[in-house]
Amino acid sequence: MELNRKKLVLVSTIFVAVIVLWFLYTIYSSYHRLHITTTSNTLVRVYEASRGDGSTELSYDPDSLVGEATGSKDFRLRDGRYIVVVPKQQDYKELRKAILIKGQDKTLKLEPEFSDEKLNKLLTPDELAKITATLSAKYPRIRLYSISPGKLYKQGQWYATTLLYKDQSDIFNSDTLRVILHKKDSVWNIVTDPPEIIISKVVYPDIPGDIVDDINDR
Amino acid sequence: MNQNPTILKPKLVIAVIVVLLLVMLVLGIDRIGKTRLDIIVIPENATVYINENRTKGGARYLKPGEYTIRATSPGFSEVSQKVSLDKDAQSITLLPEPVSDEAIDWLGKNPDIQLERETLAGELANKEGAALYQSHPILNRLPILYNHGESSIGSGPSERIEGGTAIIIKDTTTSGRASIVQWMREQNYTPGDMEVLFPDFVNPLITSVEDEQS
Repeated sequence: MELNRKKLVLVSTIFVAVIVLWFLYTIYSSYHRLHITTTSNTLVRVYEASRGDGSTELSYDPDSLVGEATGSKDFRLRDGRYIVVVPKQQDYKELRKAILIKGQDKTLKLEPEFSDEKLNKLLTPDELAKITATLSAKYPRIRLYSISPGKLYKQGQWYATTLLYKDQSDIFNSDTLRVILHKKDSVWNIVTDPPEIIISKVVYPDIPGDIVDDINDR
Repeated sequence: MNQNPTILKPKLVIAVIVVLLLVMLVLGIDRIGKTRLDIIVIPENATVYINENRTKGGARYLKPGEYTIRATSPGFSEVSQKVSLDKDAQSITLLPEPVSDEAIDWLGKNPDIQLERETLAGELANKEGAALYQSHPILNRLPILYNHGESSIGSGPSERIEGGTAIIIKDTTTSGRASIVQWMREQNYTPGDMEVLFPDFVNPLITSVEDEQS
């Protein structure tokens, strides 16, 4: 009788231990690592996304902050949707990204964009001269066009502008052309070759879509 | 010494049932939290890699996440597809193209397999076509003709994306082309989302009108 009671206690203890371990494992496995890296040493905040968000919704409750860091950091987060925010700082625009943590660790690379003021400062007459020289070397007929001042994007490594046909009396081929250049190792390269009336994201998938949309709307 | 076979048989049956139940239990436990992915591949003996882990076609149970599924077979081109698995079961079709004479002969000698291949390729094309029309609803409205057919907006094969579709705007004048692009914007369509071709436009930057005429 005594033996049976001992067995019963042992079995019950094991059963409870298994349940507790399973419960703890369930909690542990619902947390995953979010590794955030930034191209600049900027402040990063992670918020829980507001409930009922769609996949593209980027709203959050300021009280739902789950962590913050300067530069790169690992966050251990429970499965769910989060909004990663780089607040607007000197020289940088605010950056928001939604991320779903579910079932596995994730890495998020943040590349905050320069503010418009900073980008305008970077577009110096010297930089414009280099861009014009690149275009002129590639297309001698660019003399037929006026090159608009254009605009730098992201961290100043992208440039887009419109080419306006000088002879507006030509009703057949005086379309405005668009061109996007990319700077690598201080050298400007023409990406959209040749310049076109409409630049396509499908043809140039490596160009950020917002740059393509912006220049197509000009 | 001789055992009675009528006694042995029920024991054997029970043992088999127990083993089967154990196998089912192990398989069941192994599939907890995983999603079914059916990998349809022709030829069926093609080697399939899931994120570089060698396997074969058929039903696979994977944890939700991003996977690259690749199929290779001697004499056939390698094909791969990215899959994003959530809770819902999915199926993908991988159809490596025959590139060697042996592979082409093999398909010729196996008309049933070739027929199945063509059927699957057709289904795949329909699925991709439907997805294209869903993501670019403007295609459902094309073609549209203007000025008694002198100018138009339609769709056709892309010039630079293999197997792709492009918007084709035909108008000989600058203002005509600009009006059609403006119409696209007014329909809440972003022109840069697809390749847009202007066959009547002679780009003065790279071709002179004289060159074009000659």
